Amino acid sequence: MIKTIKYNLTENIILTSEILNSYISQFFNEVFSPIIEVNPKHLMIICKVKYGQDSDSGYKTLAPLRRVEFGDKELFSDYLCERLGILIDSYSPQNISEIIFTYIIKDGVVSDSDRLLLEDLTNKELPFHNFNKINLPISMNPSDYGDIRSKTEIDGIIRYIVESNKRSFEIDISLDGLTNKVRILGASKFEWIDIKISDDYFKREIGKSTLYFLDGELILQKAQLNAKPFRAKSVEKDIIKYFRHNGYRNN
Amino acid sequence: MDIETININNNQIPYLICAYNGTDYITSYANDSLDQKELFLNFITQLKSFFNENDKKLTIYAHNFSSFDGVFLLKHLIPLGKVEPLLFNGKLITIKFKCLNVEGLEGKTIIFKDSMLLLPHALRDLCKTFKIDNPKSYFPFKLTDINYNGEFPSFKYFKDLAFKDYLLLKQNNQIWNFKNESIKYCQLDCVCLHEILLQFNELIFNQFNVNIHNSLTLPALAARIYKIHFMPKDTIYQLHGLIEQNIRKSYTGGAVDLYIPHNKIGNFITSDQYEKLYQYDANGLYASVMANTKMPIGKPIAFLGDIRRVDPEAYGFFYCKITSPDFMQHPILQRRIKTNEGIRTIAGLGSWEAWICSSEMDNAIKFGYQFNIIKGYQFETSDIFSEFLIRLYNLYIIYFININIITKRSVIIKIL
Repeated sequence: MIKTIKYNLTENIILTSEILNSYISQFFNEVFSPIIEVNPKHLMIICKVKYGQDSDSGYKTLAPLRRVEFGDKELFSDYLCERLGILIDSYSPQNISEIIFTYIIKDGVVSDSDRLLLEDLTNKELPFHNFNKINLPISMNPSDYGDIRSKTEIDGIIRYIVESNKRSFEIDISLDGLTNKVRILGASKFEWIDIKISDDYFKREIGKSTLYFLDGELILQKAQLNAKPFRAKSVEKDIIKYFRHNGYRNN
Repeated sequence: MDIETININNNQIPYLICAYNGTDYITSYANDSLDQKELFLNFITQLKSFFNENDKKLTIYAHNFSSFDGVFLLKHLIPLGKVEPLLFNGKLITIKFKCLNVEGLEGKTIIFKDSMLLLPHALRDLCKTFKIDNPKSYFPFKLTDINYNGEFPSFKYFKDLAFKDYLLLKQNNQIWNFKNESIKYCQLDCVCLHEILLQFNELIFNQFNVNIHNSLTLPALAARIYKIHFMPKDTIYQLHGLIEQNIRKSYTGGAVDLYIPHNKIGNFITSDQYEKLYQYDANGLYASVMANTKMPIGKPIAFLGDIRRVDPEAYGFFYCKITSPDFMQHPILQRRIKTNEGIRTIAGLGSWEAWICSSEMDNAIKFGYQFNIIKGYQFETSDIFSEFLIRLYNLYIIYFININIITKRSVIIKIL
């Protein structure tokens, strides 16, 4: 049976990670803890927020439905806070009047295949692709990477500094707009080059791979493999007329 | 070297081993009890006469060593030193033997090789080809008494011998001693093989400055010639592991079609009118394709997705979902399937997933096949074999003109 717990915020406030964490703790202590007293159980749970005080104000789902055990409280908090960070980047901050947990009680523990709490943290509004476990935006538009903090023209390029909820990007765009050199700032020094082929078609050279995107979809991934060439052998100077010798090679 | 055997209760038992080095012979003949250990030890011990003082290695060829001589020799070498046999596809290719326990041969290395892997023809045919002065003779292999001494053996003891040739042999051999004749026969085989190998080496060296003795097989010799004289730099790469396995999956072997030829005009049963019937024999297809078709070169590029959406001319080996036309009388694409009786190759209709070379895919598209490319390996292409093939083809023409050297021609074809 679907159940709902609604927490009314005493003031019309901007939702932060700290506030969200406190209400998650309250929900776990008041609702989840009594459920697991007899047998192991888990919840299928979704968290929504209501903007403003008016009855016609909108609701926003913080994250897709997940299966959660009682011991997953911190994981669940991190998951929702990550999602909250993405939503704040994507939408103008608004005042929140309610936090709503909708859930179903399920017997037993969560299976491994359902334990998805640390995954799927990408912004669903933008297409991403995964490269070496890092989600990268499928776009040559700097604003699709996050908030543009600066824009400078230097040495025949336009350099953008862009910040998302997790990372900072340095994006150097050629003046003709056909080439982007993108670097993730920080210790990783992760970088790649995007080359525009047509309006909706570009390729990304990253590491040893080249990826081709058409209409925001990865259509081809290429990588050169390592191999050693056969080497030319030397001409032999003397003809062998005897079968006793001090050594010639066999192949 | 050569080993002679007699058939006792359907077992081949060696009784004679000979070798020849261009000037001297070695002969080891079994005692009455056919003691094998003594026979082989005697042979190996005598090999020291083939070494000069400073020689460290000796190469010994036997014709059909892999399937015959080597099988007998191997187990008798093991107690005498360090034995390193080289096998390929379960077949003994060569034996490297470092002698440790034979007086006078300590520390010497003997390499046994199969000359048939370099010249894949019967010794008798090779004698004709290389015009050997004293060609291989005939021997009554069905005679099993190694102490026989008497009249020339009956015709029934010979095989592969015409009766008129038998009569000629008999005329020249009134009294016949098994031991003497077998030694003579075996030594002559060794002399023939020695002369053939020298001539063949001279032929190849004069053409390509390559000694045959550095290659164990004819394909290895062909590759050596190619790598020395014809291979462009950084074109052919060594591929191993999964990529090699996947590319091999795109090869299913040659397709065989069966036809009932007829030259009747109109209805096969009722017609009594005929037209001229032609028969075509296509030769040298591998060589032809290698000479006239671009070949994959360079480092492979692995890809995931439909590469033809990005590069419509992409060449390589693709893993595809293949869909045949609804009906074809003779489907052209083969696939290998597991059956209760092993792997079978079929050319059927339907839909399946398989590795395929892009050239074969492009050809199949013309016949209505459809391909959904899932992944694969892309290569650049280039002409890398035509110069090599033209050179060999010109050699082939030289030998083709003279019908007497048909085996030489055949060897050139095999290199091709």
